[in-house]
Amino acid sequence: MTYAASEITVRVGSATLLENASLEVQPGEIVAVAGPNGAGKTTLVRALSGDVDPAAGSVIMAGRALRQWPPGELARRRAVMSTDRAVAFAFSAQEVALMGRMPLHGGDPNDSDRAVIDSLLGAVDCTHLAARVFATLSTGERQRVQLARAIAQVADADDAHESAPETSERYLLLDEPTSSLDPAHQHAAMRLLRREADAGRGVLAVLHDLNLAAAYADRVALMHDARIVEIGPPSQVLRADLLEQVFEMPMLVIPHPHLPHPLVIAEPHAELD
Amino acid sequence: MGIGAVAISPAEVVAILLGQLGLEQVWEYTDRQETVLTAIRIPRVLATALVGAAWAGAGVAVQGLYRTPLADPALVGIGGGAALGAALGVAAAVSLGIVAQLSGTLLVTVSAFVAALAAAAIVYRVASASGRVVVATMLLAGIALSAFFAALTALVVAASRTPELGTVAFWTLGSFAGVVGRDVLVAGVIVIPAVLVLARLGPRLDALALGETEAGHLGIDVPRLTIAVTVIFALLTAVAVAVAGVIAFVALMVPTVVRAWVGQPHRFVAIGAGLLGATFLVIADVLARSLFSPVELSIGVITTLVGAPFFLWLLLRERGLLAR
Repeated sequence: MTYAASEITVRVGSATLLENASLEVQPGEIVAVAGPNGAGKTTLVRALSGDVDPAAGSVIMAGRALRQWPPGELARRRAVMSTDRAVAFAFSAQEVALMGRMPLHGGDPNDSDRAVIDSLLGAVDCTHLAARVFATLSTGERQRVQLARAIAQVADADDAHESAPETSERYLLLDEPTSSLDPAHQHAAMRLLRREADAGRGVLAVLHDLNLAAAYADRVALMHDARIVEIGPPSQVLRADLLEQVFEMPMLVIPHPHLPHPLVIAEPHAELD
Repeated sequence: MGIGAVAISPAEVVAILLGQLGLEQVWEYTDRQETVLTAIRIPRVLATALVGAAWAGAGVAVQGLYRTPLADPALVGIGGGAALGAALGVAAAVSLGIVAQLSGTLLVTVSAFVAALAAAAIVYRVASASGRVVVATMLLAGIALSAFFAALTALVVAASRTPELGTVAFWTLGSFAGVVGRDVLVAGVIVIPAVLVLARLGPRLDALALGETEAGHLGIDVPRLTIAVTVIFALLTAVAVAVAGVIAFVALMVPTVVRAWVGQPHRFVAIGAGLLGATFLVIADVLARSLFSPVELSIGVITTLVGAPFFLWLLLRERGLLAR
């Protein structure tokens, strides 16, 4: 069982935003999507989440086409986090995070929903912001709360609602979940995603930080010009020749001195071969 | 209920009400006082409360759907559309000879509802860009739409030459002077259930605050919610306008005050706004008929005197968001 896109193409007018992209996310793994601006990363997430209809190809979750899932059931098995969106009115950070549990509680959260939120807000270091008005938080703080909301939607709960899916096979599609975070919060967020993946979630995350992808992703999908040019383990995808070709700048890739994954360093002053 | 051109003391009010229930007179009162209270004042207070609840509920619905506290159906042209529809409905009812009957009141309300829906569709069409309503565009479109509908309403009033249509000022500033019992009946049957249904949709409106796409990812059928909420605010606006014309700023102010009071969840905001809207408009109507008694002010004069400065304050508060 997987969350899979096969040979999807997305066009807007005469522009092709995504061409013939195929990708699978397995439960238990983190797939990072990397690539330069305009490579089609957000379009890939939007096509996977069903926000845009591909001109060709199909998106399938757990053996069933996305369109065939009843909206409520889909929402209980898959959460989507898009890039920073304003929340109207003066909802608190806690209220916003609790909305992630809406597909399960339908408007009447129970104690276990609150426990899930408390725990996740703690994990993204937002416990002290819980009562603050969401709209007044900084960009990074809003991103952390939105991440907690997305994870809450598919998180395990002690006292689950009757509507909760029996399977632990659930998915997270995250568009730049860490782009505005400082290093400590980036790693906290990625550790949290690792924990969710270990609990059975399939995670797809757009990441600009290649070293974050190298450290936490099981596989990296590298995109360039509306295509997925390479997909595989970080050591296979994060190669200097490939990165230089895609990002059009000199790149140094060395073994991490302490950890078993590559380290990517952009070298703006070096000469490109 | 005691305040007005014919003075009735609270004790006399109680005595008349008890008298209606068949009890003997506990305090002295005149027949004139009894007639004024039962035929005019009681329907008027009830109608005012229901219309206040209707405007406030419509405000919660419009603001929730368009994701901004700066929306008021009376300001974005939906009230004006309803007024045009109601005026046409009155003209039709007069020509059918049913203007003084329940069916006439229903005809006026339905006509106002259809026109309010049409106005809401125009506002949405003009002000939405890729599924999101742009607040500044909505307010600007509202200026044009309101003026356009007011001009059309004036045309209808002038062309039909029926005294039942009243004056242009009635439709654009509002008044409860002509309220009768069947108005209360129609308003009550529509307003109370509509506000309760809105409260039931509360959690879905909360999720909509995250954005339409995000609400969709939470399993909410956003197109269906949009239609349901639009029908609710068009219905509430239509009832309010059919009874007493366009009364601006109630729908704008009341939800914001209630949010500051009970918090953001739309479930509570809808109920709270219904209650506060009713209370606010009853007080405003007492002021409208007593400040310069026996001359009666249009109730819209009172609500605008309070509401316009409130709107400016709200614009100041929200201008950072509007500039985006």
